[in-house]
Amino acid sequence: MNESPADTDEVLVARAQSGDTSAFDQLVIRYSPRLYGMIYHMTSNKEDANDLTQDVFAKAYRSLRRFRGRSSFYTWIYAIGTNMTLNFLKKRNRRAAWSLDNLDSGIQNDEAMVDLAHAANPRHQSDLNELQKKLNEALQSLSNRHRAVVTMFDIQGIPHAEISKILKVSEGTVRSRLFYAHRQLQGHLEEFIK
Amino acid sequence: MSEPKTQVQKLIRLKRFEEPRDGYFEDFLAEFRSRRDEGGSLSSRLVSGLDNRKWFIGAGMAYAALLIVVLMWPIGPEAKTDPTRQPIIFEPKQPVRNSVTPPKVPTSIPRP
Repeated sequence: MNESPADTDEVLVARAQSGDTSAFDQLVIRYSPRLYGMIYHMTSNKEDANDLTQDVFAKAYRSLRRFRGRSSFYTWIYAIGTNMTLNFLKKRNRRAAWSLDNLDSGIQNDEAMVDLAHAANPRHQSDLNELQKKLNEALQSLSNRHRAVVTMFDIQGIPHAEISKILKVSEGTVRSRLFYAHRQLQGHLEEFIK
Repeated sequence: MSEPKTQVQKLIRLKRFEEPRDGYFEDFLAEFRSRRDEGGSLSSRLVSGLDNRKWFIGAGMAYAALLIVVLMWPIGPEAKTDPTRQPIIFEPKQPVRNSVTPPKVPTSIPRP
Protein backbone atom coordinates (compact mmCIF):
# COMPACT_ATOMS: atom_id res chain seq x y z
CA MET A 1 0.00 0.00 0.00
CA ASN A 2 1.27 3.45 -0.80
CA GLU A 3 -0.66 5.46 1.78
CA SER A 4 0.88 6.57 5.01
CA PRO A 5 -0.89 6.28 8.35
CA ALA A 6 -0.65 10.08 8.65
CA ASP A 7 -3.08 10.56 5.76
CA THR A 8 -6.10 12.42 7.01
CA ASP A 9 -9.60 11.17 6.40
CA GLU A 10 -10.15 14.03 3.94
CA VAL A 11 -7.13 13.01 1.87
CA LEU A 12 -8.14 9.35 1.90
CA VAL A 13 -11.74 10.18 1.00
CA ALA A 14 -10.64 12.41 -1.88
CA ARG A 15 -8.38 9.67 -3.20
CA ALA A 16 -11.06 7.04 -2.78
CA GLN A 17 -13.53 9.28 -4.60
CA SER A 18 -11.16 9.46 -7.52
CA GLY A 19 -11.07 5.66 -7.70
CA ASP A 20 -8.19 4.72 -5.41
CA THR A 21 -9.52 1.58 -3.74
CA SER A 22 -6.48 1.26 -1.47
CA ALA A 23 -7.37 4.64 0.07
CA PHE A 24 -10.79 3.29 0.95
CA ASP A 25 -9.13 0.16 2.37
CA GLN A 26 -7.21 2.47 4.68
CA LEU A 27 -10.48 3.95 5.89
CA VAL A 28 -11.81 0.44 6.47
CA ILE A 29 -8.74 -0.39 8.55
CA ARG A 30 -9.14 2.85 10.48
CA TYR A 31 -12.83 2.59 11.30
CA SER A 32 -13.82 -1.08 11.20
CA PRO A 33 -12.92 -1.78 14.86
CA ARG A 34 -15.03 1.08 16.20
CA LEU A 35 -17.88 0.51 13.80
CA TYR A 36 -17.88 -3.22 14.45
CA GLY A 37 -17.85 -2.50 18.19
CA MET A 38 -20.86 -0.22 17.93
CA ILE A 39 -22.81 -2.71 15.83
CA TYR A 40 -21.78 -5.65 18.02
CA HIS A 41 -22.93 -3.90 21.20
CA MET A 42 -26.18 -2.95 19.50
CA THR A 43 -26.91 -6.46 18.21
CA SER A 44 -25.04 -8.59 20.80
CA ASN A 45 -24.31 -11.06 18.03
CA LYS A 46 -20.95 -11.56 16.30
CA GLU A 47 -22.24 -12.89 12.99
CA ASP A 48 -24.81 -10.13 12.66
CA ALA A 49 -22.16 -7.57 13.59
CA ASN A 50 -19.75 -8.91 10.98
CA ASP A 51 -22.34 -8.97 8.19
CA LEU A 52 -23.73 -5.57 9.06
CA THR A 53 -20.29 -3.95 9.29
CA GLN A 54 -19.45 -5.37 5.86
CA ASP A 55 -22.72 -3.99 4.52
CA VAL A 56 -22.04 -0.59 6.04
CA PHE A 57 -18.65 -0.30 4.34
CA ALA A 58 -20.09 -1.59 1.08
CA LYS A 59 -22.82 1.04 1.21
CA ALA A 60 -20.34 3.76 2.14
CA TYR A 61 -18.13 2.71 -0.79
CA ARG A 62 -21.05 2.88 -3.21
CA SER A 63 -22.21 6.25 -1.82
CA LEU A 64 -18.77 7.80 -1.51
CA ARG A 65 -19.19 10.01 -4.59
CA ARG A 66 -22.16 11.65 -2.90
CA PHE A 67 -20.16 12.41 0.26
CA ARG A 68 -19.61 16.18 0.19
CA GLY A 69 -17.65 16.51 3.42
CA ARG A 70 -20.30 18.52 5.26
CA SER A 71 -19.62 16.24 8.24
CA SER A 72 -16.51 14.24 9.02
CA PHE A 73 -16.16 10.84 7.35
CA TYR A 74 -16.30 9.32 10.82
CA THR A 75 -19.70 10.92 11.57
CA TRP A 76 -20.98 10.04 8.11
CA ILE A 77 -20.08 6.36 8.27
CA TYR A 78 -21.27 6.10 11.85
CA ALA A 79 -24.62 7.56 10.77
CA ILE A 80 -24.85 4.96 7.99
CA GLY A 81 -23.93 2.23 10.49
CA THR A 82 -26.43 3.38 13.09
CA ASN A 83 -29.28 3.66 10.60
CA MET A 84 -28.57 0.26 9.08
CA THR A 85 -28.30 -1.32 12.51
CA LEU A 86 -31.53 0.24 13.74
CA ASN A 87 -33.31 -0.98 10.60
CA PHE A 88 -31.83 -4.44 11.06
CA LEU A 89 -32.92 -4.55 14.70
CA LYS A 90 -36.44 -3.50 13.78
CA LYS A 91 -36.66 -6.48 11.45
CA ARG A 92 -35.00 -8.81 13.94
CA ASN A 93 -37.36 -7.79 16.71
CA ARG A 94 -40.27 -8.80 14.51
CA ARG A 95 -38.82 -12.29 14.15
CA ALA A 96 -40.38 -14.48 16.81
CA ALA A 97 -37.56 -17.03 16.70
CA TRP A 98 -34.91 -14.60 17.93
CA SER A 99 -34.35 -14.65 21.67
CA LEU A 100 -31.83 -13.59 24.28
CA ASP A 101 -30.31 -17.06 24.00
CA ASN A 102 -28.78 -15.86 20.75
CA LEU A 103 -26.68 -13.31 22.60
CA ASP A 104 -22.99 -13.92 22.42
CA SER A 105 -20.80 -14.63 25.39
CA GLY A 106 -17.09 -14.59 24.95
CA ILE A 107 -15.37 -12.34 27.42
CA GLN A 108 -15.25 -14.59 30.44
CA ASN A 109 -11.63 -15.43 29.70
CA ASP A 110 -10.54 -11.90 28.96
CA GLU A 111 -8.02 -10.91 31.64
CA ALA A 112 -8.69 -7.21 31.29
CA MET A 113 -12.35 -7.91 31.73
CA VAL A 114 -11.74 -9.98 34.85
CA ASP A 115 -9.63 -7.26 36.46
CA LEU A 116 -12.04 -4.52 35.55
CA ALA A 117 -15.06 -6.47 36.70
CA HIS A 118 -13.48 -6.93 40.10
CA ALA A 119 -12.40 -3.31 40.24
CA ALA A 120 -15.86 -2.15 39.30
CA ASN A 121 -17.53 -4.40 41.78
CA PRO A 122 -15.07 -5.74 44.36
CA ARG A 123 -17.75 -6.74 46.89
CA HIS A 124 -19.59 -8.88 44.45
CA GLN A 125 -17.28 -11.60 43.12
CA SER A 126 -19.79 -12.71 40.61
CA ASP A 127 -19.29 -15.12 37.85
CA LEU A 128 -18.17 -13.18 34.80
CA ASN A 129 -20.26 -15.29 32.56
CA GLU A 130 -23.30 -14.37 34.55
CA LEU A 131 -22.28 -10.73 34.58
CA GLN A 132 -21.90 -10.61 30.85
CA LYS A 133 -25.20 -12.35 30.34
CA LYS A 134 -26.88 -9.84 32.64
CA LEU A 135 -25.17 -6.92 30.92
CA ASN A 136 -26.35 -8.12 27.55
CA GLU A 137 -29.85 -8.76 28.80
CA ALA A 138 -29.94 -5.34 30.40
CA LEU A 139 -28.78 -3.70 27.18
CA GLN A 140 -31.26 -5.67 25.12
CA SER A 141 -34.05 -4.59 27.44
CA LEU A 142 -33.53 -1.01 26.27
CA SER A 143 -35.23 0.30 23.18
CA ASN A 144 -32.98 0.40 20.13
CA ARG A 145 -32.67 4.20 20.31
CA HIS A 146 -31.70 4.11 23.98
CA ARG A 147 -29.24 1.27 23.40
CA ALA A 148 -27.64 3.31 20.62
CA VAL A 149 -26.81 6.23 22.92
CA VAL A 150 -25.60 3.95 25.73
CA THR A 151 -23.39 2.08 23.27
CA MET A 152 -21.91 5.22 21.82
CA PHE A 153 -21.53 7.19 25.05
CA ASP A 154 -20.87 4.64 27.80
CA ILE A 155 -19.10 1.91 25.87
CA GLN A 156 -17.42 3.79 23.06
CA GLY A 157 -16.87 7.12 24.77
CA ILE A 158 -18.27 9.28 21.97
CA PRO A 159 -19.17 12.78 23.24
CA HIS A 160 -22.77 13.98 23.36
CA ALA A 161 -22.25 16.51 20.56
CA GLU A 162 -20.91 13.85 18.20
CA ILE A 163 -23.74 11.46 19.04
CA SER A 164 -26.27 14.18 18.32
CA LYS A 165 -24.73 14.65 14.85
CA ILE A 166 -24.68 10.92 14.16
CA LEU A 167 -28.28 10.39 15.25
CA LYS A 168 -29.45 13.79 13.94
CA VAL A 169 -31.11 14.67 17.25
CA SER A 170 -30.39 17.46 19.70
CA GLU A 171 -27.83 17.10 22.44
CA GLY A 172 -30.69 17.48 24.91
CA THR A 173 -32.33 14.43 23.42
CA VAL A 174 -29.09 12.48 23.72
CA ARG A 175 -28.77 13.41 27.39
CA SER A 176 -32.39 12.63 28.12
CA ARG A 177 -32.12 9.22 26.44
CA LEU A 178 -28.99 8.49 28.45
CA PHE A 179 -30.67 9.49 31.69
CA TYR A 180 -33.66 7.28 31.02
CA ALA A 181 -31.47 4.37 29.85
CA HIS A 182 -29.24 4.54 32.96
CA ARG A 183 -32.28 4.49 35.20
CA GLN A 184 -33.61 1.43 33.40
CA LEU A 185 -30.22 -0.33 33.43
CA GLN A 186 -29.89 0.31 37.14
CA GLY A 187 -33.03 -1.70 37.73
CA HIS A 188 -31.72 -4.61 35.68
CA LEU A 189 -28.25 -4.64 37.25
CA GLU A 190 -29.26 -3.95 40.83
CA GLU A 191 -27.75 -7.17 42.15
CA PHE A 192 -24.31 -6.17 40.83
CA ILE A 193 -24.52 -2.63 42.17
CA LYS A 194 -25.38 -3.37 45.82
CA MET B 1 -23.88 11.88 38.98
CA SER B 2 -25.21 9.65 41.72
CA GLU B 3 -23.23 6.65 42.90
CA PRO B 4 -25.54 3.93 41.56
CA LYS B 5 -25.51 5.53 38.12
CA THR B 6 -21.73 5.60 38.17
CA GLN B 7 -21.77 1.95 39.06
CA VAL B 8 -24.10 1.25 36.16
CA GLN B 9 -21.82 3.10 33.82
CA LYS B 10 -18.78 1.26 35.17
CA LEU B 11 -20.50 -2.04 34.56
CA ILE B 12 -21.63 -1.10 31.07
CA ARG B 13 -18.14 0.13 30.25
CA LEU B 14 -16.84 -3.38 30.85
CA LYS B 15 -18.35 -4.28 27.52
CA ARG B 16 -15.70 -2.31 25.70
CA PHE B 17 -13.31 -5.14 26.49
CA GLU B 18 -15.33 -7.52 24.40
CA GLU B 19 -13.23 -7.65 21.31
CA PRO B 20 -13.03 -10.08 18.44
CA ARG B 21 -10.17 -12.55 18.14
CA ASP B 22 -6.71 -11.49 17.00
CA GLY B 23 -6.47 -11.06 13.25
CA TYR B 24 -10.20 -10.59 12.90
CA PHE B 25 -9.92 -7.17 11.26
CA GLU B 26 -7.31 -8.36 8.75
CA ASP B 27 -9.76 -11.05 7.70
CA PHE B 28 -12.50 -8.47 7.71
CA LEU B 29 -10.60 -6.29 5.23
CA ALA B 30 -9.86 -9.29 3.02
CA GLU B 31 -13.55 -10.20 3.03
CA PHE B 32 -14.49 -6.61 2.21
CA ARG B 33 -12.05 -6.48 -0.72
CA SER B 34 -13.33 -9.75 -2.05
CA ARG B 35 -16.94 -8.60 -1.82
CA ARG B 36 -16.06 -5.28 -3.45
CA ASP B 37 -14.34 -7.03 -6.35
CA GLU B 38 -17.28 -9.35 -6.80
CA GLY B 39 -19.61 -6.40 -6.50
CA GLY B 40 -17.69 -4.50 -9.15
CA SER B 41 -17.94 -7.26 -11.68
CA LEU B 42 -21.48 -7.90 -10.61
CA SER B 43 -22.44 -4.27 -11.12
CA SER B 44 -20.76 -4.15 -14.53
CA ARG B 45 -22.61 -7.33 -15.47
CA LEU B 46 -25.74 -5.73 -14.18
CA VAL B 47 -25.15 -2.62 -16.29
CA SER B 48 -24.54 -4.63 -19.46
CA GLY B 49 -27.51 -6.77 -18.58
CA LEU B 50 -29.58 -3.64 -18.19
CA ASP B 51 -28.43 -2.47 -21.64
CA ASN B 52 -29.53 -5.74 -23.20
CA ARG B 53 -32.70 -5.68 -21.25
CA LYS B 54 -33.34 -2.12 -22.41
CA TRP B 55 -33.27 -3.25 -26.03
CA PHE B 56 -35.39 -6.24 -25.24
CA ILE B 57 -37.94 -4.13 -23.42
CA GLY B 58 -37.96 -1.57 -26.26
CA ALA B 59 -38.60 -4.23 -28.87
CA GLY B 60 -41.31 -5.79 -26.73
CA MET B 61 -42.99 -2.43 -26.22
CA ALA B 62 -42.92 -1.72 -29.96
CA TYR B 63 -44.41 -5.12 -30.71
CA ALA B 64 -47.10 -4.65 -28.06
CA ALA B 65 -47.95 -1.20 -29.43
CA LEU B 66 -48.27 -2.61 -32.95
CA LEU B 67 -50.48 -5.40 -31.68
CA ILE B 68 -52.71 -2.95 -29.87
CA VAL B 69 -53.02 -0.78 -32.98
CA VAL B 70 -53.97 -3.79 -35.07
CA LEU B 71 -56.51 -5.05 -32.57
CA MET B 72 -58.03 -1.66 -31.88
CA TRP B 73 -58.23 -0.52 -35.52
CA PRO B 74 -61.74 0.83 -36.00
CA ILE B 75 -63.74 -1.55 -38.17
CA GLY B 76 -66.52 0.25 -40.14
CA PRO B 77 -69.83 -1.39 -41.04
CA GLU B 78 -68.73 -1.67 -44.61
CA ALA B 79 -65.72 -3.70 -43.58
CA LYS B 80 -67.77 -6.23 -41.72
CA THR B 81 -68.53 -9.38 -43.55
CA ASP B 82 -72.25 -9.43 -44.10
CA PRO B 83 -73.54 -12.63 -45.66
CA THR B 84 -76.57 -10.83 -47.06
CA ARG B 85 -74.41 -8.62 -49.13
CA GLN B 86 -73.19 -9.69 -52.45
CA PRO B 87 -69.96 -8.65 -53.84
CA ILE B 88 -70.26 -5.76 -56.16
CA ILE B 89 -69.07 -6.60 -59.60
CA PHE B 90 -68.41 -3.78 -61.87
CA GLU B 91 -69.21 -4.51 -65.44
CA PRO B 92 -68.98 -2.20 -68.41
CA LYS B 93 -72.30 -0.61 -69.33
CA GLN B 94 -73.90 -2.16 -72.40
CA PRO B 95 -76.75 -0.89 -74.43
CA VAL B 96 -79.98 -2.25 -73.16
CA ARG B 97 -81.48 -4.62 -75.62
CA ASN B 98 -84.90 -6.20 -75.64
CA SER B 99 -86.09 -3.44 -73.60
CA VAL B 100 -89.59 -2.33 -74.30
CA THR B 101 -89.54 1.11 -75.67
CA PRO B 102 -92.78 2.84 -75.80
CA PRO B 103 -93.98 3.38 -79.36
CA LYS B 104 -93.57 6.78 -80.65
CA VAL B 105 -96.63 8.67 -80.21
CA PRO B 106 -97.18 10.88 -83.15
CA THR B 107 -97.33 14.34 -82.03
CA SER B 108 -99.93 15.13 -84.70
CA ILE B 109 -102.78 12.93 -85.82
CA PRO B 110 -102.96 12.63 -89.58
CA ARG B 111 -106.16 13.88 -91.04
CA PRO B 112 -108.29 11.42 -92.85
